[in-house]
Amino acid sequence: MKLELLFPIHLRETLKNLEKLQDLEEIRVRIGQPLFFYTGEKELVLLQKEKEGQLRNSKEPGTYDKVYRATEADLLEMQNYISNYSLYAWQEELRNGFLTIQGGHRIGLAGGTINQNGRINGISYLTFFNIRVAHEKIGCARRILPYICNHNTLIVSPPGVGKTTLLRDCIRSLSYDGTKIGLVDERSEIAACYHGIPQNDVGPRTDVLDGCNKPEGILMLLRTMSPMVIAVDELGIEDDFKAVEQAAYCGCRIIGTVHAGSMKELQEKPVLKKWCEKELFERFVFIKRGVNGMRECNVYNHRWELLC
Amino acid sequence: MLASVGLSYSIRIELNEHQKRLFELRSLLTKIFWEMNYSMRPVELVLLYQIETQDEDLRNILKEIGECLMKKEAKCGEDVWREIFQKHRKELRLKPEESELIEQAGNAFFGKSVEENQKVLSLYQEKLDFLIEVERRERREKQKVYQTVCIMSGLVLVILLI
Repeated sequence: MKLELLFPIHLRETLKNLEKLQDLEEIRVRIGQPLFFYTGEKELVLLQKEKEGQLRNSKEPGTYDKVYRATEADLLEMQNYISNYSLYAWQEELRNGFLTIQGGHRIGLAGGTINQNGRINGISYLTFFNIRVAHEKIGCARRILPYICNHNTLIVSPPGVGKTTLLRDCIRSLSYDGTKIGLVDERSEIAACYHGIPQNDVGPRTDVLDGCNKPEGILMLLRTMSPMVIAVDELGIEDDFKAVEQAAYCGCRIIGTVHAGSMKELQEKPVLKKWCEKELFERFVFIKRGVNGMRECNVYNHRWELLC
Repeated sequence: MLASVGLSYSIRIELNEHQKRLFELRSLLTKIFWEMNYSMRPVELVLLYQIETQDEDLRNILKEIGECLMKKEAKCGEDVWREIFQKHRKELRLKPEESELIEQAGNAFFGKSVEENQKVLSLYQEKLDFLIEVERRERREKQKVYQTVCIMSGLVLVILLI
């Protein structure tokens, strides 16, 4: 899906070249606020149509007087485009606060929550969107593959730095190299399946279990698809790690991702501590944002020694 | 005499087809809802790939709605549904009140939740059932009248010719 199709019709002409915007990572839409477009290190804003109607660096003086601000009608319109006019079909996703659209772009949602029995049961009005643009960076895992290809690996970074992109490329590369991969794509971000067909290249030997929760998905793939490697995004809860452990003891290798701001933070994560002590994971790839938004990857072993 | 019998027969077929279309519309509304509910897919995909009907006009209309929704050029889905049914009013040969009802029935597919859609749909189905019942009654009466008139005029024509 073209990104400009997510925006209100009157803004599409201005945003028609959005795809060409280099390194576009994130778009933020907030009610009554400017539209922010993040590319690498830059923060761009959309100017009003009568005042040029283009994207400009938000740091330029005088920019804020001319910015276009999203209205309630804009957000309602966007809600229809994002959900393909079918909000009912995204009830589970709304409960989780995000949805993945065609092309693998993930849209974080916020607004008024509906609470039932003390738990969030949905969002009644959507007034904040965070559009995270999916990137397929083919070849970005080339450098780390020799270090991780025969080990259970965790890819680690803070949110938005590129764990999923790196994981996708690991899957693709291993799959092209002859490894049978089972991918549990709970949020449809990796393969970005649309209508059951992966929109991203995940390789010829990859089976995708789309929209399935991780613990169940891992065990199901293990039983049904005899994968050599199971790939899974955003491991977080104890049940995820239990399923990973079960798979690892069945002769499968695991590549997963996990959120952490630093290696120290990772070591101190309560849920992960137990599994690290058991040496369930043998490699840790830490991604950090370098100069000019470039990503740097460091590979550690299970004794936290830097390998590359 | 034969011509009048033929005329009465063709009127009967036309009435039958009208009723058949109403039944088909009712069944389609139900099918669309259940497909949406079962597969939890967006309306556009349900209309394009999952709904089968023998009625070619309706099939084309649903396909057109699905394609228009995919283009994302309308602010809301209900508008697309209404506009396309309005555009094809003549082909469907429905009465004005039936056409209006079908044009509004799109509201049952673009709600925030399945429950909302279900409630709106049952409202439209109730209205449609009422229209079908009215149509059924009218049809019986019309058939009797047309049949009698046609046969009578045929007889008159035969007498005149003799």
